[in-house]
Parts: sequence; structure tokens; C-alpha cells
Amino acid sequence: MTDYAHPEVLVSTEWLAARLGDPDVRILEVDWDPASAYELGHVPSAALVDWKRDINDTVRRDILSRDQFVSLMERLGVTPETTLVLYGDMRNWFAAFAFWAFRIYGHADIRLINGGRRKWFEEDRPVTQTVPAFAAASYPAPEATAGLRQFLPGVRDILGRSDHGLVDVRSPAEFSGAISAPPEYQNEGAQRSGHIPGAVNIPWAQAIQEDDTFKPVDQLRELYQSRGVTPDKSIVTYCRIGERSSHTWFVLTCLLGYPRVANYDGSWSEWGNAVGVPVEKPGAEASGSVPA
Amino acid sequence: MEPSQLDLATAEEECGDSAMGRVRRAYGNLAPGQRLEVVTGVAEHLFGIRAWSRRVGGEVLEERREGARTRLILRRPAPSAS
Repeated sequence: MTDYAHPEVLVSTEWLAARLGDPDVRILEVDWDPASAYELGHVPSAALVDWKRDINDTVRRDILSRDQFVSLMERLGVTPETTLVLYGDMRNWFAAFAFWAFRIYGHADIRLINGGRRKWFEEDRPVTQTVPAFAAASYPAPEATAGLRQFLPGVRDILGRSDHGLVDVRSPAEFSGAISAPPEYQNEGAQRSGHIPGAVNIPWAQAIQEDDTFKPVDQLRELYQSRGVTPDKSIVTYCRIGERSSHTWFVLTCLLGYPRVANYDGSWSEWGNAVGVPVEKPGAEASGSVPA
Repeated sequence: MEPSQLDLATAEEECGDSAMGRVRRAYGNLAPGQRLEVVTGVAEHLFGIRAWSRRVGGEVLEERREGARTRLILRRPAPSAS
């Protein structure tokens, strides 16, 4: 992993297996659906972070507030010096989202398990249903870091600008507008289908290999640069609710070292429902216009 | 009666339901005594299906390795006579 721009943020399953129970390391399983993952079995000493409850404001549509972040860290016995090691269900999407959100709040040492939960089980490593308990810690309120997150007005402002790039990491069916959301996710649907004008479609999974580990750095560089997603541009990633795009944000920021990458977590479930924003849909007439 | 079938190979590409979510949904649609055949090549899924079946009292009737994939047959038990 040494060829990556920031190899220290990615750890192997072997690395983790040698540090189970290390008091300076807090292992966190970040799940969208804990009943189908953490509760059935998890890495020994891993604590649960329930994405819907812990990483989101449960009333407003927003990521966790600074106060929620502090409470979460304190409940998990985490101090600013603790090494956080994240993995989770759904191919590490929600772990990557938590990585991004914790980065916004400035936690210094966050790492993602390469291959995540799937690789851990594939290697037949130990799992448990035991839920660990930690003594509460004190975590001083941090300042949020600007620039890692993009909002709808900011995306609208960059449309048509050659010094910016938009990466739509959804499936080709979502990008083309054939679907806006699978039927089982009724609250993630949109009034319009298609994509943000000028976006390139590079599905998130193109960054990983068969075993869910990330591709080598030269392959990743080729994947993005061949589509015009280059480090001299300011890049915005998006998907439907911002979790798959967190995975790609991680690749561009941490593995390839792009200096200006923001995740638009409002994503298609916001853009596709917004009034008056332009939408590109192959085969359909142009919708709206790109602001000057 | 032929079992219902579920192939988990394409479970997550579009950020749809998780693999285990699909199993739970399909199992929930079974009538008592009916079977569900699940095919997967992912160890995480196999672990989850076994653990979840134990939790809800489901029966794993058969587990057969076929190359890189495994076929499991689950049965929703009939309610016991009281």
C-alpha cells in the first residue's frame, strides 16, 4: 500500500488482527443495517456505529452535528489521540462516509480496513457477537474543516467550468436515468432521473478488486485521469445519498492525493428533487440551462 | 413445492437492499414449511445467513458448495402444534 499518496490511512486485515484489544486503537463497524451485520457477528472488540442513528442528524437532513460528534466520541471512549479503524457493511460505503464525516470534524488518525468486513470473513478470521464496553472519554469540541463537503448551490456554481470535475459514482442505470432509486428505498427516490450536466460516470466499484481491496495506484490513476478527473481540478463526487461517493472521495483524496475533492452528500436524492436545476438525461431534451 | 430462489451475486451494485436484507425479505414472504434457495459466493453472506437463521429459528436444510459458490436451502418452519 506504500504507493498510495497517504498509505497510513489504509490498513490490512493482517494489521488489524495483530491489534485486537489494543487500547490505543478503537475499531468501529459502521453499518447501515446493524441487524444484518454487526449484530450477527463482528470483529472482536469492535464497537457499533449505526450510520442512520450516529452519523446523521436524525431530524434535519444533515450529517451529525459537532455536538453529536463529540458525544459519539465520548461514548466510544475515544480521545483526539485515539486511532480509529473503520470498516462496515455494504462494501465499506458507510465506513467511508464516517471516515469523511470524522475528517470534517478533524479527528487526526482515522484508518479504513482495506477489503473491510467482506475480506475479514473471507479469511475466516475470528468474529464475535460480544459488544464491548468502554469507559467514557473526554473529547474537546473541534472546529469543522471546510472544503470536504459540497452543497447544491456550490455544485450549481461549478457547472460548465473546466477547472472543476463532477464524478457520478452510481451505476450506469442510475446515471442514464433508467432508474432513480431501487424500489425498496422509497425515501431515496427522485422526481427526475438522469445526472448532473457534465458529470462523468465512474461507478464506485471500479476502484476495487474482486476481494474488495483497492486497486493498485497506477490502475486508479488511469481509471480517473482517462476520464478527465485530474488532480489539477476541483472535484466533486456524488451518488444518491453520499455514501458510495464517500468511497470515491476516499480514493481520490487519500489514495491518489488529489488536493481538492469534496463530497456532495445531498447527491441525486437532493438534485433530482430540486426545483429549477438542470438535468442531463440521454435521449431526453436538454433540461434547464447551465448558469453563466 | 419448488423452493423460491435468490441469487445474491448482484445484490449491492445499485445501492439497493443489502444481501442479508434481500434474504430477510424473501424469507419473510415464505409460507410456513416453504423453502428458499440462496446462492452466493461471499463468505460474509454465508456467515450472515447461518447466524440470522439461528436467530429467527429458521432451518438450513442443505448447504452445497458448487465451485466458488455455495447453495443453501432454508426452510421456514411450520408453527408447532400447541
